Amino acid sequence: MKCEEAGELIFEADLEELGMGGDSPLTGHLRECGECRQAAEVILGTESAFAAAFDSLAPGRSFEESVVTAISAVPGSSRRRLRALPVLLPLAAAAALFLLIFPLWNREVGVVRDPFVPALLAEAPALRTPSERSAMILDSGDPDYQIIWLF
Amino acid sequence: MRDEPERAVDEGGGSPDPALFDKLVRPFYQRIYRWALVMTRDPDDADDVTQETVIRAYRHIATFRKEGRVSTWLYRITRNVAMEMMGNPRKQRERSDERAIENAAGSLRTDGSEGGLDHQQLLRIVHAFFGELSDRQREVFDLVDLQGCEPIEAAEMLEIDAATARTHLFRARRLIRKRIMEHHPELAEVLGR
Repeated sequence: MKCEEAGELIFEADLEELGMGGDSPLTGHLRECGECRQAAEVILGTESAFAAAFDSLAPGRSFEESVVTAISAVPGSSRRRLRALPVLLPLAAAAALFLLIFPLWNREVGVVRDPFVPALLAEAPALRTPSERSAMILDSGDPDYQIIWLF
Repeated sequence: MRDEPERAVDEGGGSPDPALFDKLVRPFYQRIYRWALVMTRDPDDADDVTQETVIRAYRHIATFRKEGRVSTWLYRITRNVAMEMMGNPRKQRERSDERAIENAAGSLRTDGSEGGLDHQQLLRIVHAFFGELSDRQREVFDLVDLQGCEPIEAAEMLEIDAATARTHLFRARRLIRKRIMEHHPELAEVLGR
């Protein structure tokens, strides 16, 4: 191979080939020709220096802090959820207590006066439940139909 | 790719997951910045792109597919963010400072070899040389020759086919190496340049 031909290949060759890895016609020529080998070494050295210069780059010092702040503001962030926990806990406890007491009270009375019950039915309760059962009247959205749930 | 972190396992639900984020994205901060710098060629813009990329990755971590590479997923986000922030890439390229190329070339010529250059000089040279490449050429060259990705992996990250990636790579190498050889005329002559 002539140096001119090698020159054509050197300008497009993979780095491994320039480093005389493998067994291609170009690597064969580089092993024999000192000047072409020197050209390949200059290219390898320069590109390797470029890579090293880039490898040492990092974002600015305040980057991590900015990211933490920005992430905290993302909806659904666990940090955000944790901040809301002191407010939500008493509300959740109150809701749980209500759900616990409501069926007991309901069983005693036997008839449901539920916020879902239409006003007319609530004013004149006429539903008797079988013993040991409670009932809930649910609004279906259609005035002609009401849902009675025995439980 | 050099120092390729583990392939990720998607354990995420439907919302941001700090633990998964720390595992998958945090190790990539530096690399995201580097990608952003290659895309924008401006350290301040690269900072902004990196921050926005990290935030988007946090928001959408649950969408990451477990069979994919974290690097590919993050690279695509970085690219989208950079394109949105920088507007028209061609317009951006036109803003490149021609004097930077001359100054950088001067540095390389003065020293006679890259070994005597300091870090900042080297970066100026890289940026100046990169200014002569198209966006695709610059990205493929950086991913393959400077970061050590396989061309097929670079193609996947850039969402182009492997043959196209190789074409961009060869053109980029020709331009960069021609520039390097201009500062070693005795060797360039041997190679018939």
